[in-house]
Amino acid sequence: MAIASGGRSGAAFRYLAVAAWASVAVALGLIFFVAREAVDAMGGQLQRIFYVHVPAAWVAYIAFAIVFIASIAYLRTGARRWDLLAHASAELGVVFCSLVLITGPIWARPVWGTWWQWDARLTSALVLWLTYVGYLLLRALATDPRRVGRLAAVLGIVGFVDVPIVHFSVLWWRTLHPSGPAVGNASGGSTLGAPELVAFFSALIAFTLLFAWLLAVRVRLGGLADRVTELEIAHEMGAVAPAAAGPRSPRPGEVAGAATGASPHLAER
Amino acid sequence: MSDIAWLFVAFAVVWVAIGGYLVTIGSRQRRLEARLRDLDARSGSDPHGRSASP
Repeated sequence: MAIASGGRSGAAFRYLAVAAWASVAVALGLIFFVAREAVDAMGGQLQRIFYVHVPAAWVAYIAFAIVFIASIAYLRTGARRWDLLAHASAELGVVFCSLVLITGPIWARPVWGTWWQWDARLTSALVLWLTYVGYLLLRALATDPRRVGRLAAVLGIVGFVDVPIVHFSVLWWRTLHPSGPAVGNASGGSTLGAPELVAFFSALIAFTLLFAWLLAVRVRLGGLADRVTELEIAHEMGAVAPAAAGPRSPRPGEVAGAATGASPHLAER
Repeated sequence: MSDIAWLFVAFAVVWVAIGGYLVTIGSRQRRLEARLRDLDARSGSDPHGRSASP
């Protein structure tokens, strides 16, 4: 699948894609053939869900942290590239947070005997997901791109408050959700052995690389959408810039309109 | 359902979701590239006489 791989940074995209998918393959091998089965109390074979559930949560944290930082930068500078980055990262954060909210109940159903418990960890994670789904809906339904960029940035900053609440909820409140490693013992230490730790950290690296690649692709797509909108506006105004100075591949995070002088605040598809 | 079946479902969901997201991005990209080609073609035959063609 040729996804946004043209332009100067095409080679970097390809290297990142190869690294991401190779690390995913290695991680899957380690999860299924190296990591040992957990004790029955933690679900036995089912505990292997932990190797995708936790890395997905980690990546969602990173994604929402990027939204937070990019939103602050956008409010300070007004540069479109920050808005693009925040939007792309929020979308990926929702994807990975969805995976957390799906894989968790799949583990919980056979182990806890229920799909869902309204405990602090699960509820705060659901609130986090809803917050950023709202962020994406706000952007999708808005009619004034300039105004929505600022509104979305404020929501992206405020929404991040929930990330530490999700993370520390297992320490601050009594919850059913396991705290720390899923096979942690009563003293708070990890009972993960070396094979399990290797599998876990390889999965963490694989998900992080996969996220980095997806983010680069998604930011690039946002740049392409800006370029199209810019040309559409120019056509509507009957003032298309000469093609000799115009069409070229947008760079990731490029300020839309820089090439033609069009407004940098464009609606992203 | 056995533990292995639940495990299979969980991993299938993860990779199908990521694959689905990639397909969505690819589809959006193809649509935008087609629109860009269309706009580029129109700008090449600009009715205001500002064609890039020599």
